[in-house]
Amino acid sequence: MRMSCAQEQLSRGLAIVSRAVGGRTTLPVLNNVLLASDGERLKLSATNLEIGITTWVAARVEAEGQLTIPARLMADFVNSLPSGQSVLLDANTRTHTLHLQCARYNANIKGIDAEEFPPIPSADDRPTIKLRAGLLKEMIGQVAFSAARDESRPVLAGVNLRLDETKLVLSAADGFRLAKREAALEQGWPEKLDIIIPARALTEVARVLEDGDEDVEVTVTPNRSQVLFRLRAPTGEINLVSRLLEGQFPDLERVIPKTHTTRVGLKRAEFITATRIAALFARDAANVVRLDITPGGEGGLTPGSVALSANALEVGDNRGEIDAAVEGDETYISFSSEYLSDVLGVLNTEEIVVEMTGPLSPAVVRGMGLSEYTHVIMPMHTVR
Amino acid sequence: MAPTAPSATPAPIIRRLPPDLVAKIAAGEVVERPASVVKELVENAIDAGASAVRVEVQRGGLSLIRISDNGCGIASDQIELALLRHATSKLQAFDDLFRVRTLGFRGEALASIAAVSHLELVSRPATQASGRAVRVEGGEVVSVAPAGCPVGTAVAVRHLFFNVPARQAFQRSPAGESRQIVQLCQQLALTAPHVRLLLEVDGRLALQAPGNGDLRDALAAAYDAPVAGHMLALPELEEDGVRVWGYCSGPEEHRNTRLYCTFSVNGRLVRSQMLSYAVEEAYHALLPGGRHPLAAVHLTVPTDDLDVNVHPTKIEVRFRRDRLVFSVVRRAMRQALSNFAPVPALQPFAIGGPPGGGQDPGPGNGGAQRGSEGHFGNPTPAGEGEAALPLSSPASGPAAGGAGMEGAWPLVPGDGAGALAAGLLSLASAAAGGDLAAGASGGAPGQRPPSGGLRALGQVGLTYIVAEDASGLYLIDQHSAHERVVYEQLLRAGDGSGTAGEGGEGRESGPPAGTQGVAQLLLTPEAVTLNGTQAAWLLEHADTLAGFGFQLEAFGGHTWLLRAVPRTLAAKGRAQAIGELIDGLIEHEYGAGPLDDQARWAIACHSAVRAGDRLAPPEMAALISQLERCDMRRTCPHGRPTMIHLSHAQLEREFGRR
Ligand SMILES: Nc1ncnc2c1ncn2[C@@H]1O[C@H](COP(=O)(O)OP(=O)(O)OP(=O)(O)O)[C@@H](O)[C@H]1O
Ligand SMILES: [Mg+2]
Ligand SMILES: [Zn+2]
Repeated sequence: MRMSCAQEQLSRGLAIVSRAVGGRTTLPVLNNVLLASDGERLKLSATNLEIGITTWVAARVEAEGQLTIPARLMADFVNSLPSGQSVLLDANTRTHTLHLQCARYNANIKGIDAEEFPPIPSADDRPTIKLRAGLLKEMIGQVAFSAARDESRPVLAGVNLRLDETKLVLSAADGFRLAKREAALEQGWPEKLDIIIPARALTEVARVLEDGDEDVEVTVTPNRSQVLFRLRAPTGEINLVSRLLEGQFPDLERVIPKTHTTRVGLKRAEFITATRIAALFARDAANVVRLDITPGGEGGLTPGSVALSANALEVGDNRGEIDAAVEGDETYISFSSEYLSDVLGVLNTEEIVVEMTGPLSPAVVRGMGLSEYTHVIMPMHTVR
Repeated sequence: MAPTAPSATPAPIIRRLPPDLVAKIAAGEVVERPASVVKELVENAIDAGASAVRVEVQRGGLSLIRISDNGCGIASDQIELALLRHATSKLQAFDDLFRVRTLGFRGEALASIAAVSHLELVSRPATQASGRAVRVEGGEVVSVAPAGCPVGTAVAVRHLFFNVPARQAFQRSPAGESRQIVQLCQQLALTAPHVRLLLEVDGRLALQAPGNGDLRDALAAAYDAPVAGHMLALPELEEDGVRVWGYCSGPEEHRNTRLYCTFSVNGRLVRSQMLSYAVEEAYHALLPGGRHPLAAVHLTVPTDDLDVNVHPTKIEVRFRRDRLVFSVVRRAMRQALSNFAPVPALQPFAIGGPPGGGQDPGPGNGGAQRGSEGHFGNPTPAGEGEAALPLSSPASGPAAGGAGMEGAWPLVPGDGAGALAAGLLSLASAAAGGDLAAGASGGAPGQRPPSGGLRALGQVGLTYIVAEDASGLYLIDQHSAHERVVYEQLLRAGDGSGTAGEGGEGRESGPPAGTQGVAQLLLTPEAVTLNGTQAAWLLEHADTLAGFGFQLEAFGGHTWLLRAVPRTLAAKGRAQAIGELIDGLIEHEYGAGPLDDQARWAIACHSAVRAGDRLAPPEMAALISQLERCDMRRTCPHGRPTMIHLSHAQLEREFGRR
């Protein structure tokens, strides 16, 4: 293998695939990045066996071939090279050594035979669904954080993706809260698709995606064991493959309350500030933030309010009050401050709606006017 | 069948007991064994204001008990009165019973002892030129005569229980009785540090308390000087007339019996389950299972708060405000322990050797370790578990374990964990010859735990946090440390129930802080299927778990519906820990305390980060700052150290800079 490419492009490509480099010493080839000639391009791949990332860099190929090279060293070296220069990559496939040359810098890096690198599937010509990159990124951001962080129930560590002719639905739940985001599709999927993607992998997808209008193509391998995201960014193509989780995702629709007895509308910015302040105290008090909801008086002439408070025995207590449009009963409810700030952090509407049915029932948090998104938080309560 | 015929046995005849038998029965209640005689007589001497008391016993006190003092003595014309039942100089009216300041108050001890032995009493008050001697055998006065003797009183008791064969049979070996007497005198010396107490057993000096009023010196006499030197002074606390002072041992010093805990209430040696429990709670988790601290705890309470007339031996008492007494004692001990608890210095066996290095591995310790290690297993780097579902791996597949140095700033390039650990190990073994523990000389308690300013540097082997402060380097066990943090959060929440959480404004407006448990409800109830043992345990103890926020409903068979979990478990997303948790409790992996406390440990253990969990730098920083706010940041609830210290001095010495 012998080829050359632009330093900036090579550096960017290495940075992208490095995200999939597993830090494990037990399977050394996984610390490496695969370099391969692919037509008039250099293909870069890395995997940690959970996800695999591939990207391409325009190159002048003089001799075809492939080799794996320690990712960190290669990235650090290329990164340090002068920009605006071209980098020559010359692999000796017998000694598995890569010779790099750029300006007056020369290096030889020892690698591992590409045969040892796990094959990463590519999309080929399977049916795909096209999505807007910015939309998918937003959807993942609103849902993936609600997946379970531990793996005691493996499916809950994943995000459920459902597709049909008209819409795409992402949902996740960690046992104490759930998030669901829908998006209408112009061009749907011919058959129903219902898969579970590890939340960690999706988070990587969101990181690689840019906010723009480019298309992302999503496809599933025929045996439904892997999902592939193919992003055609102006800077180059990126493929991200993730294994899928096996199992049945719980039916979350059942859990979403259909009715409520109190509905509160509040300004998101104020809600976030009050939550952040209460959380300072909640840190030492079981992370509990309590909301006391008071309806307005005089037929709506005076506004209702929500008081957020936290009280830590040894630290102190705090109480912040914000105006709110309250419909229905006066009530109170306690949440984990973390759960509350998580959801407030991913909503971008100016106003937030919270729907409740008393202190011991699930509460629904939405963005005002954003019917596609539903977040449910289970309250906390005190045992006496 | 016909009703049973009336019994042919004649109805027993009721008679009044002869006076000597009455006396013996009464004596039996006061004088159970030789040690009780010693206790009564020494207390009489102390009541008499003696500054020196000498005790001699032979053959476990069965042949001879002689006690002489330099107290006020007994006027010759009253000496026979002193031997009469219910004759006392200490109590005049019934009301006085509630204002008892002396150790004796019933006028029963001398009479009781005299009823079951050959007793000789010789006494002279300072106002008399000579004294008087009385001899009594089995309660009968045999002789009364003037006697030349020093000021004070001497009582000799021979042939104890000569007329109570049943009692004799019950006595243990003379050696056993002697041991009891020694223990008793040690405790008496601790309750009366102003009395020079001398004990001779079969002609050999067994105890010599200096009587200079210094409790630490009394401890040195009773136990041993280095032990006493390392004991921690209790802060003098006073609340509502209840005052506590004294000494207790640090967590490194412990015994297998409670006998090394001495309680003195208004100068009286007492036994009290409540006080023992207060101590146990204070030390909770600091000592290996089944081990007890050394302590001498002095309490002063208003006399009308104390009922001393509970038991014939006067060793049991009742407190009117026992909760207050309990909390004052426990608080004093906790403060003492947390103020002075040293951080173990790095020692060769602290890494790679048995965990808990530096502490005597007590009998219960090993079990607790095995248990807690058991449910964590080997550190598993994230993602390793999915090796079964690889994208497809041509290689043989990754082996488990082998996590390297993690964190933002690698301390040692390359194979971090191994290199660092090996480095520290050799360094520590080299240093082991020198004065490793700061403060090991001079008898001062060791290095104070770091307070503030501890900065996380990185993570080793996904198990330990490396941190530094002005005094040097610390290795912190992430699981133990976090377990300690959660445990104390839960403990504080429990502490608050009934006091801090009630009534105040906090209850009105704030979230429920000072309460037993905070439950996080589940999105959907989760079916938990237990095995038979677990289910049986749960049936019996569901309330205990409920107190911490577990909401479980029987669902038939061994299946339960889990509706809520303690919030600390929710934070980790481990709703399913319940089966493991019950197993641990069944197997007593969480100590020998009361069940709710074992449960608290268990929940803390399951809520804590585990060995093998990757921690981001902010997570490490948060854990350290929480740990720094703990009362007992030095050990995890299992008693294992949470941190190991390597001082700048050690580093400099090892690198040859000094
Ligand atoms: N060592 C002593 N020095 C001076 N007086 C003594 C001494 N021993 C006993 N007495 C006197 O003898 C009395 C009776 O003693 P005794 O021990 O029988 O009863 P007590 O101490 O008053 O009450 P208790 O039965 O609770 O011990 C005491 O009240 C005290 O006046
Ligand atoms: Mg007496
Ligand atoms: Zn543990």
